[in-house]
Amino acid sequence: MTNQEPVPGPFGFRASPGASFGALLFLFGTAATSALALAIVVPVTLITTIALAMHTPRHMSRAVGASMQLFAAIPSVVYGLWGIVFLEPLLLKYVFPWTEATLGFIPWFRGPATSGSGLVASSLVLALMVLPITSTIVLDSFRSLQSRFQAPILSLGATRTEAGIAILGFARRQVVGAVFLGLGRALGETMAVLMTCGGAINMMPVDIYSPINTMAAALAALLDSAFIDASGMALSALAELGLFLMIISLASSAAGRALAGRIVLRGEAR
Amino acid sequence: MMSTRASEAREGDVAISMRGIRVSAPGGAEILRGIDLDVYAGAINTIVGPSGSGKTTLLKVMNRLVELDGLRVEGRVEFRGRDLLKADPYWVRRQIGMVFQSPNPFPMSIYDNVAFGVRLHWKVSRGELDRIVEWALREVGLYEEVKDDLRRSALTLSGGQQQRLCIARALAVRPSVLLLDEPTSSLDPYSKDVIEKLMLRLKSELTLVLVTHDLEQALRVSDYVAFMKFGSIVRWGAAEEVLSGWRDAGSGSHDPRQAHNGG
Amino acid sequence: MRARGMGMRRLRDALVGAAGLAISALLLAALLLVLAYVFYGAALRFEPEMLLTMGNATSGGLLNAIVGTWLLSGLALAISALLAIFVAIDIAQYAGARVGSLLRATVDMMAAIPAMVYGLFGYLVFVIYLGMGYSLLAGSLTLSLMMIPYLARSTETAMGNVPKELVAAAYALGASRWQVISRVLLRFGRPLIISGALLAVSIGAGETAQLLYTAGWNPGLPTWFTKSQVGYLTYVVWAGINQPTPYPQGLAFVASALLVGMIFILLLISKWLEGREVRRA
Repeated sequence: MTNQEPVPGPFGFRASPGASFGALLFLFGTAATSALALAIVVPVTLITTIALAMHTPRHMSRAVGASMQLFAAIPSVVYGLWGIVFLEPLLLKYVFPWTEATLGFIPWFRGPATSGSGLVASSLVLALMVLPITSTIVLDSFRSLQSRFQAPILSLGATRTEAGIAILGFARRQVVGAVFLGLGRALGETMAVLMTCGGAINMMPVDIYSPINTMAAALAALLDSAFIDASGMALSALAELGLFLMIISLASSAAGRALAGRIVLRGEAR
Repeated sequence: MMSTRASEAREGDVAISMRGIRVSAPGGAEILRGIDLDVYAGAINTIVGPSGSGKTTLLKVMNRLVELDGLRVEGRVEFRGRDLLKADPYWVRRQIGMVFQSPNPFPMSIYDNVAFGVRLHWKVSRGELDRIVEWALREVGLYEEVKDDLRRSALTLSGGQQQRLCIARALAVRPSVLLLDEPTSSLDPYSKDVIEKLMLRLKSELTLVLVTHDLEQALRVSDYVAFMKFGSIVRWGAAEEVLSGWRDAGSGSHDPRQAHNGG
Repeated sequence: MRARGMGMRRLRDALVGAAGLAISALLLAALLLVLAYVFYGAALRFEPEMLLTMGNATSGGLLNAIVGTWLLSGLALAISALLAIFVAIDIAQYAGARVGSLLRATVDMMAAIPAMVYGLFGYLVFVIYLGMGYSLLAGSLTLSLMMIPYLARSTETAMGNVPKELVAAAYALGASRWQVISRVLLRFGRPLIISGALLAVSIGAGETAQLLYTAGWNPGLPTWFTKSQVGYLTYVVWAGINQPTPYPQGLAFVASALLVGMIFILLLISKWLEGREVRRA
């Protein structure tokens, strides 16, 4: 397959418009959106697991688990639609003015925000999509340890939360695995991010309100215009990007699978 | 089936006094029907009976674990001058510790297992904690066996050692009562013996409540015995009285009805 | 040695419990919000002709897209079923432990590859190199790659669920390994396999990125498996919502509602089948 031949050195810094193929923006965008999404997902997963497993009756937490499956089955484009129609206007009208006002002393928050799309919108949508994966694994691991250890821990006089924290500690490995699996998903998510990221192409973001792009979204957006390039370099560059994306996604998911003992397929309960 | 009290008063105070304890499941099924029981301090109080008779549930009433199973409890349990059913459950659980049927050491080091409860309730310096851990391990006779490496995972210990570790873990928070739910049923005969001797040693410092289905064990260690069936206590008193019928009946038969008729 | 105040501990307990529950409720609300928004938006903008005519994603109707989605997912299912079921059989019955776990790992890793990478692969291999062009076959082949882990997993689970005594009895009667597989395992495992298939279809129906570059788009119906593009609902959502005018946006909403509705129904049936089997076991 001639198109897959690696072209030397297309990964570089942002370059002037023209025939150059710097991918730094996409790498940064992928890293930033994934990091932000995980920063939301991980604490939320931990605290909701403790609350659901220790503070609520069984049937309630099972209902939440079931609704997580529904969460995961919603197509990416629909999340993207919701992001465009609901989330972005919300951010632009209410959230960004607030962050500009209160956090504006930090250059990155000063703004002004001109659009709802960008890092915040795409990270939030990404967080919603990664959450079912991590929470399924963490809750599952918790449950399997809970039956053995809850009674002895509580009999020593621990509060429910203390017991929950202790049991999560026993499941440390699976929790880290869950994070890696969630990361794997976040790295490769395409449509919802494409629709909410702002589609930046050769400008690095200057603040949190700037448009950005991720590797997966860029692939989807730029592939058809890459055909126009007769030299085939654009296509090669994108192909390399795709290869890189595949490698890091596989690496993250493999690590997650090794630690957590399994992967989570969408729509799967346990 | 009515409960009977010991005909003579015994030396030793009553550590726990249960009156009218009823436990029912959410659907209405009664698990314990009106139990009256006294637990004597500084003694081994044993509860025996067939499976399903409610022994473990009765135990769990004493450390307030029963409500975590979603069960409803009525009655009064007098302990240290208060009704422990209405007292702070965390205080109750620190005063009344529990050891479970299968050893369940936490997946941590031996040291951390014993230290777990202590760290929950107190801020301790390293030196103090070291002393407490050593003390608890000595109490159960484990210290000499594990002192070379306390950082070792608790899971590397044998079954009997793990159970003794669990006892040490419970003792580390200095309870005044220790509940033991069939502590030796999953252990080999040698470990059984070790733990029975441990219980006999511990009774001078603590009150013990033992649940067992092993009547021979009950014979060996008990000071007082309560016999339960179908959620009620059918016989209760000093060990000698309650069990003498069985001993006279000779080997093999553990059928309490025979003993009841004969004793 | 200082006692740690019970008051602080109880406070932390109550706070964590309350916060955790509040966040859970918030998340559920967010989910419901997404659903409500989609269905409400669709209801507002619905016009009956959307379901009855074909269209071009920004005008007209959704009929071609609906048919296209089913065609793509259905064909993808058929293709992946062939492969996945044999992989599962291989893992469960023939392979040794090491090869089996290697196979299982490979299949699991297939689920970890991003959809867009499948799209790129599908474009380069099926559309260009094999010369299918944007077509039903190219799209379905690409989708099927993605579906394989789902089917392989559910088939393996299904076969594992068959009572061991049944399998032993079949062997005892002198059945060959293949006979045991086809007549006992696959037959008894059928509900769970179907459950997995429905799940796979529901996932396939929601895919977009890979189809953009393998199936293309068609304002009508495809004429053949190759060299004729296909329309699909997810494309409408993507294309429509980005338009400034209300009608295409309406198409996007209705397409979303259709997708979510279809997927949920497939999922519910899948879970129901699974639940029945679990109860039986």
